[in-house]
Amino acid sequence: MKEVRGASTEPPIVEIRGVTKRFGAGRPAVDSVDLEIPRGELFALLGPSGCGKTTLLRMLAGFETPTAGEIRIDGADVAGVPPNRRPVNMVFQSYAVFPHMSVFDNVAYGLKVTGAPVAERRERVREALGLVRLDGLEARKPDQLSGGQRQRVALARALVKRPRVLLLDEPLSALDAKLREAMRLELVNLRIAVGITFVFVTHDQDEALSMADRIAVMEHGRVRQVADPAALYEYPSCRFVADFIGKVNLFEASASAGRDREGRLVLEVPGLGALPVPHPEPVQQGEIGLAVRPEKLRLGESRPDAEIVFEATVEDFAYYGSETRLFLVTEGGVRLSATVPNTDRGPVRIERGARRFVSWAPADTLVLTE
Amino acid sequence: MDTWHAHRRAFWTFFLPPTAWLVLFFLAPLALVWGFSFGEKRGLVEIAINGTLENYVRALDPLYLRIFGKSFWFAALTTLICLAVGFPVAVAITFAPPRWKPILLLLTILPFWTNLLIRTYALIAVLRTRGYVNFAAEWGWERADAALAWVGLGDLHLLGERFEPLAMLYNNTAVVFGLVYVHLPFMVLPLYAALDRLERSYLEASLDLGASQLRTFASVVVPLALPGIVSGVIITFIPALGSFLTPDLLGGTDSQMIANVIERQFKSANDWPFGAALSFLLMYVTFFALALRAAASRGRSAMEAA
Repeated sequence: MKEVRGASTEPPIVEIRGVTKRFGAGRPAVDSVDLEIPRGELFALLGPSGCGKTTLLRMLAGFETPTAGEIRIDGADVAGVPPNRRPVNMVFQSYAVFPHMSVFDNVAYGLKVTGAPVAERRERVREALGLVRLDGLEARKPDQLSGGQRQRVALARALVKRPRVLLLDEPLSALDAKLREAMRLELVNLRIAVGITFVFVTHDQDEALSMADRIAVMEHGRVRQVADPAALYEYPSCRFVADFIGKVNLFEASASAGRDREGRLVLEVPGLGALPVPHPEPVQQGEIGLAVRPEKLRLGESRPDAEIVFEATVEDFAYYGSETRLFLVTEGGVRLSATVPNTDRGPVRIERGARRFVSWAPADTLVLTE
Repeated sequence: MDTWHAHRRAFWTFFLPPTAWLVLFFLAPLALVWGFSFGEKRGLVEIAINGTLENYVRALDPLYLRIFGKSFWFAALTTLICLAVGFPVAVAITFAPPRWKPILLLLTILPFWTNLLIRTYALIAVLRTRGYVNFAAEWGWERADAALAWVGLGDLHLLGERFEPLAMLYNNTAVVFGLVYVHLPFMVLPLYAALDRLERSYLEASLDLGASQLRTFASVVVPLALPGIVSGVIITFIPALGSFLTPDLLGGTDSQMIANVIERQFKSANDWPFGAALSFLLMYVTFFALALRAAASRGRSAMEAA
């Protein structure tokens, strides 16, 4: 696991040390996780369903108790602290906006139960509703609101408490596609406006990449990699992360042919031959994977002057508007997928069975040892 | 639902028998009894329905009003105790592990598998002077008395000269106790249904926002379970109000409820018109209560739709 540490010298707002959570026998839902979340970050817990990301979030909120390990929020160990005494608030996946209360009462609830004076309550609710642009809807009942508005109520209700950390469980999954896109940017701007650390759980890699400052990718209860979006995409630490984030061509190297004159690693891939890769770190023999992102592949009708180049047949293609994805087979029988941006208007000039030269730069090849 | 217009004969074939059954065996006798309430007893079995209101006037005599009042009081107290006891039970079932839920629900409705009469006699065996509760109390008293003697306080007779059995039967307390025992499942089941539908995230959201467990219960659980509470209250209160077996078997001379009076009119007193008037007074009140509930729920949904 490679961790890119934040530049901040302040102690992290959330520290998770060796946290494990077991529900009964079998594999733990969360398995010895170590994480540090610096102040003011928009931090994403990303992974497929059942990877333990929601359980980890619920442990931060206090709804689950770790079987082992320690969680510190703003420096304080929160073991044994019930949810109602933690300096964090949560936006639930279902929003859980109280159906029997008006928008105002929903947002005021957290202030009322802790005995904030009426005048302060009114002022802070007004401020919170302004922040999520729900002014004027104070008297509405939740069943008179759209899904997007209900989510804003849930956000305002949590933010009005001024938590040290705001936890969001799949905050956008209940919205329709168009609204989801718009809310991504809005959440990012909201975080900047309030300056609170946001930790959100998502299974949607696009969501994590486009919103988060940093992302922890989880699989089977373990954190596989913590990095900022670009590092995660361009330098995945393992096959799982490379495959889970974005699309990728994955090859398994059969042997290492050593290093060439420039000191690059030369790896033998069945069907593709020897491929040079700049990779200064020493590698163990065997179990080495190679990965190239589809958009890094160049396609040409004539043989380009490139080190890595293969002649391939277009087996199939799919048009996506902004880009076209091609599925090719090399003469060695290796399948490749390539993404070509549709920079020019006009008909797609590709057909099944067409011959193309595929090339990529050695520097765009990833070496995966895990 | 759009096809029964097209298959009129099939519709009537299925619709007629139950309708005929209900009209013949439910509505007609009810109408007959309603008619009796405006009638006059002419002979041993002869009743003339002559539109007199005398039976109702008699029914509003303070003697009967007091019994009405007492019945309402018993039913209300029963409902209240059932709610207080049933709510924790319903909460416990709701939050029990999934594999325990069907077993706990089965235990809740298990009493229905035994005849009410037998259950009431069983209750008598538990509560009477030489009953199980008193046996247990006596055993406890003897042990406590022996302990006091052992520490040298035996001569003071701090617990009395001898064990005095508790009088738990043939009084008003016994009636309410019996009514609570009989009607508790009627309260638990609708409460459970309401609580089980309640989304857990509402409770978690309340806790997350800083509310204590108690506050969450009062501000979130109770308001959201309100439809279940109202249903439970109604289906506990109405049968409790009309009970006659429990006050008959467990009650003393002054604990008869209105149903006992009605039963007596139809049987030993053989005054059907007066019994019918008392019955229908009880029914009017019940209908009024149901109409209130309907109005309340209509008001609520109208408020939500506004």
